[in-house]
Amino acid sequence: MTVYELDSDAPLDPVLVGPVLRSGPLADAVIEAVSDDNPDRDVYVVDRDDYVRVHTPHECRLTWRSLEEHLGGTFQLSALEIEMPSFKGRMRSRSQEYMWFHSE
Amino acid sequence: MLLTQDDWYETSRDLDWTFSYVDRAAAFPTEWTGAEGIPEDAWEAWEEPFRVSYRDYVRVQREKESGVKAVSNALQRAGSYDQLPASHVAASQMHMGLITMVEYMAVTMQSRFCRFAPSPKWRNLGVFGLLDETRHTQLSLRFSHALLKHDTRFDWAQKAYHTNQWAVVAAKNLFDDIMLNADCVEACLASNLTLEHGFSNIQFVALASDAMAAGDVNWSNLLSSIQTDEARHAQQGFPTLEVVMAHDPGRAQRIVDVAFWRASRIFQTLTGPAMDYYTPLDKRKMSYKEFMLEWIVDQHERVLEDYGLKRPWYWDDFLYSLDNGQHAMQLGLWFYRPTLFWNTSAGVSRDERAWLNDKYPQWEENWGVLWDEVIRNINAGHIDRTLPETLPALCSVTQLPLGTAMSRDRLAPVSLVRDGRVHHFDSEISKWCFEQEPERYAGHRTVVDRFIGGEIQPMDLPGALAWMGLTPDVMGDDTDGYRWAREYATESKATESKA
Repeated sequence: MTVYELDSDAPLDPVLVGPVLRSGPLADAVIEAVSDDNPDRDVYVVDRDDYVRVHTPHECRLTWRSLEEHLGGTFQLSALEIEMPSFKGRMRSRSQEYMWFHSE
Repeated sequence: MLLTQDDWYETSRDLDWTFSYVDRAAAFPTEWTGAEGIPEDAWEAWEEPFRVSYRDYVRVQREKESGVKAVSNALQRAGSYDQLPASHVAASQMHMGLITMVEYMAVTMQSRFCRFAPSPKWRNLGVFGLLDETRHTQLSLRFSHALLKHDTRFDWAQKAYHTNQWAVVAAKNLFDDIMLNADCVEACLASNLTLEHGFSNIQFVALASDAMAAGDVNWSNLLSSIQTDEARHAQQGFPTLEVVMAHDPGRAQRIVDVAFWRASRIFQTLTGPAMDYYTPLDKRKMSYKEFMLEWIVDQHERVLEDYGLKRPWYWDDFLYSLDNGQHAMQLGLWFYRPTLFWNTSAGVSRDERAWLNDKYPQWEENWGVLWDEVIRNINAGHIDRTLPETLPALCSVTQLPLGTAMSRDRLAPVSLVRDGRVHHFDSEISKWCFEQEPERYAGHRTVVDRFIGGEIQPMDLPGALAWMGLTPDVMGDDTDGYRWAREYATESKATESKA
């Protein structure tokens, strides 16, 4: 698993899925958490200054546990919404895990 | 053991009852639900992808509100508005005038879901959507009200939809159809799915990033905070799409294809010029076309494929329009500037022109030659020749000027006759939209129809401006006072003296 920072104007691969976040500490923690939660997938980060895309191919998992670990404090996954104006792919939300995906 | 949300969520969101003294059909008429032809039990499969409980909703929204308000208050104290580029301010005025009341229309739409949506889970989610849209209306009004002391144009956040200004009429025409004059299924597929999951990202995330780069932290923060709500409640569109695709896929495809084209034309008018012409050159992130490819083609359309929807039949023309429509609209907006309630940035200085040619290789051939004529007239002191004397012919579906959907090489008239009336269209696609539901569109009268019908008096441009509610304090003009054209005059003089 590798984290790739794509050029800011690079076209997106259609297979990528995952959250789009307002830039800031939460977005940074999500990048780390997504890396941990998707050990078999590369992570692609597109930083457009004001917003950041954090994507993996086909399926992207984000757990409350990983996010808390990288934020260094308590965090409820539902609060991710405060900094998440969009996401790429379909979504499945549960209290301890969010998942974005496309049909294969 | 303490229950988690996952343990109780499914029993909390689908409270329904069996009717004993009224027919279900009377309580949920298909004219309102839009569920005609879909078996009642099919809606049991409706599952929202993005779960939300009332407790979490209140906690999260409170935090969002605190954040927006803190940023807004700090920036007002810092007097940051005075530092903003005039062309960028114009984009925010255009947004507030054209969008604020649409947020309020969405309150009504979500209210309809709360009452008439054919699934109790959907009705439950409608409550959150209704609260979201109320928040968006209030935020936009609050933002605009605070800036009234700087510019009365911000009054149009509330005023615009009570006027006949032509861009407002065009926008109202779309949002009336897909929010107010649609059953739950159509409103959901056209508004939640097409508009909120697709196009509003262009205005509320992509343009917000341009706004942030231009130094407008307040507006940018407001836009992206609004979109965090939209991203959640837009998800109502997918389970609805799934149910309709299982029972009437043709209807789903038709609704989405019509809404997609109509939305793309409105965003070409609103967001296209703001990105490609109003945002200061050194602050631009990407072109409108590039943002559209990112958000609409790579993101939005890919998810629709998952549900079995095909790309609209007019896909190639849509892509062609991405290279042209916003440039045509920009030329029209600038030329018809007295008919606007915001100032317009020409955005065609030498450097800006180089950027346009880099992003749109056909720009010079299609549009540069027309701007050259404008520039010649400005530098010759003939500002009067850069101003309109008549109104443009308008499309019977989009209400936008004919000739603004494609390039200037594709101006062949597109029209049809229905009940003795000739309807004109800005493209074959708009004509196709009309043909899907002629009874919906046939009675709409464009500004020109009203002009010819004698509703606008006196029948001249000042009469039309007064009818549109435009007063001298808001009437649009060039944001730069035409100074951008001077470099062309200097260069022509240098060339002449060399010769």
